[in-house]
Amino acid sequence: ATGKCSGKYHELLLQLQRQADLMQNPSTLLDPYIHLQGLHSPILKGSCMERLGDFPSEDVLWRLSRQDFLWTLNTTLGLFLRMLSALQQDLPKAAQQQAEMNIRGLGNNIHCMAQLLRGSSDPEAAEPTRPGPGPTPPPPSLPMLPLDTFKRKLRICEFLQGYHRFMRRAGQVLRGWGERQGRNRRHSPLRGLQRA
Amino acid sequence: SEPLPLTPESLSVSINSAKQCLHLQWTVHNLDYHQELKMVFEIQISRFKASDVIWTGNYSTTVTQNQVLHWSWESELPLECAIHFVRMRTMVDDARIPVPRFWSNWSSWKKADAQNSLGDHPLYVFPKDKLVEEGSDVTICYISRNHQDNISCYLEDVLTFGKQLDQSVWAFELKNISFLRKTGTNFYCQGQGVPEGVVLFVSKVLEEPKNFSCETRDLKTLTCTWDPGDDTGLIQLPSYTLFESFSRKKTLCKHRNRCDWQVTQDSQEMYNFTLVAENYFRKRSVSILFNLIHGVHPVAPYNLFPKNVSATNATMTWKVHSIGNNSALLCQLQLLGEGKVIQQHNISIRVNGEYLLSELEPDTEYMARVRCAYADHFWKWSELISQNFTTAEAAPSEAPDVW
Repeated sequence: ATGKCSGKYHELLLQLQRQADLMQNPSTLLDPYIHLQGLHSPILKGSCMERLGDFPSEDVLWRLSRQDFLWTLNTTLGLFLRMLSALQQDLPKAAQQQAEMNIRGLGNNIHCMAQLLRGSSDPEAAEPTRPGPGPTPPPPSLPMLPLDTFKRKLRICEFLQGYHRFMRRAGQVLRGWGERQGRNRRHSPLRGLQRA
Repeated sequence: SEPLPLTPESLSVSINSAKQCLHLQWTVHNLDYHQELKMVFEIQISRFKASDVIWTGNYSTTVTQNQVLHWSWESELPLECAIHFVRMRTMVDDARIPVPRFWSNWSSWKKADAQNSLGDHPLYVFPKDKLVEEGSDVTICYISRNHQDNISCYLEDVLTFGKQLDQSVWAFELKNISFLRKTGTNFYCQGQGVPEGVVLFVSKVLEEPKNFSCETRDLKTLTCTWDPGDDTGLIQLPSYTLFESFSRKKTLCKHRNRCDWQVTQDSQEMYNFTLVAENYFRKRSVSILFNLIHGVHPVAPYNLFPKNVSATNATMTWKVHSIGNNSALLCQLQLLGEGKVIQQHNISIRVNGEYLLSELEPDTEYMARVRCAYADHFWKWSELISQNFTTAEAAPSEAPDVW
């Protein structure tokens, strides 16, 4: 991460939320990929679902402390960045480069927020957004891509779908931070579920 | 005693799924050692059941004792979609052997089963990742392990209807396939589970290179250029190779529309170039006879400057890149006033150019420009270079009126 950090929590949190919202939008990466690979028919689009295990689940994210959440977000996106460069031949160039820039931009703000939280005396910083022992999830592994081109096309589609869904989940958790800070009440798990 | 019947022996069949080819290999026994006979082999190929013969053909060749014979057959149907059976028989077809001549017995059927490597997936579609040329026909097939499954197949998003070949095998004949996109055309089938499919990589037909010509700018390097035509649409580009028949040399071109050829000291003046474009499906070639001296296109001159500019004269100097052993260059110097050419001079030079422009108007802005061509054989002018200059003011005609 590079560049100067803003010391204002709300400003940083708002920026993180906006970036997550941008990156959860399939038009930034998945849709251009689907168009490039010709997967736009209802059947093929319909089979392009996120595969469990590609990205940390919602439940896991809610249970992490903020530091662990930031670490998981950063680690997951770092792996995704590596995958993006491995998929250069398969992805539309412009969309791939834009996604990389988005991820690097988010990475900078994650670094600043983590730094801010480390310096903060706020007890909640160490607490999970959702009560209960939050396991630090193992970093997701990169999917093995099939040799057969048709299967490869679909598998990459699932993976990109997962990326956007993961960013949506991350955005929801970040909004959970914002609401909690505002009401200064312990975050009730049901609230987390209602938003899912 | 009656000569022993000549029979095809040790017939073996191997499968090349990617090329959808069956490769046959066999020998002929009972030939005398020194004997070399012209023989004809009748080959039969069946599908699904040995009794279902789908192809019969003859192959003629000259055979010697213990020679291993080879022959290949390309299937329009992906080999994974059906078990194939092959048998053959033979007959002498040699004028030295009196008639009547008789067919040998058939060899036993040899099985070619590409399905034994398949797993137990409910649905398979073939051929995987096939390369096809635009306009050709392609047969796609699926194998469904679950016979009750109601399976629909699509070419991109168009429902496509096929023909049932066997209880679990359907085939789809796609006619006159067209290029859609570089990432391939999708054909897929949907049963109960996730769609299974294949990607057809359709290549546009490789075009013959057009406007193939060569030139040299310095008599050291020849540059041939051409119009390659449309990109064939595949990630793997066609190769372009330049052959020269007099020297029997060749070079693989780094670009798809130009190629450099080094002119060596001892090299000839006349070149017979053949440019060969090649991709997986085709070879296209064009040829030209090229005389090195007739194709000199000099590099533009440089450092065009006015020297000793007076009210009515200016000496223009310029430099040229030497060609060969300072061969002569014909340079054309033009003088423009108000955008119109008002003087034009042809000057033969070897290294540096110099020319006196006269009859100029005082205190007037002019442009000089120069280009050069190869004097031994004019072919093309070099690019033009230009330089503006202004003549000096005229000296007063009478002494100043000083009182």
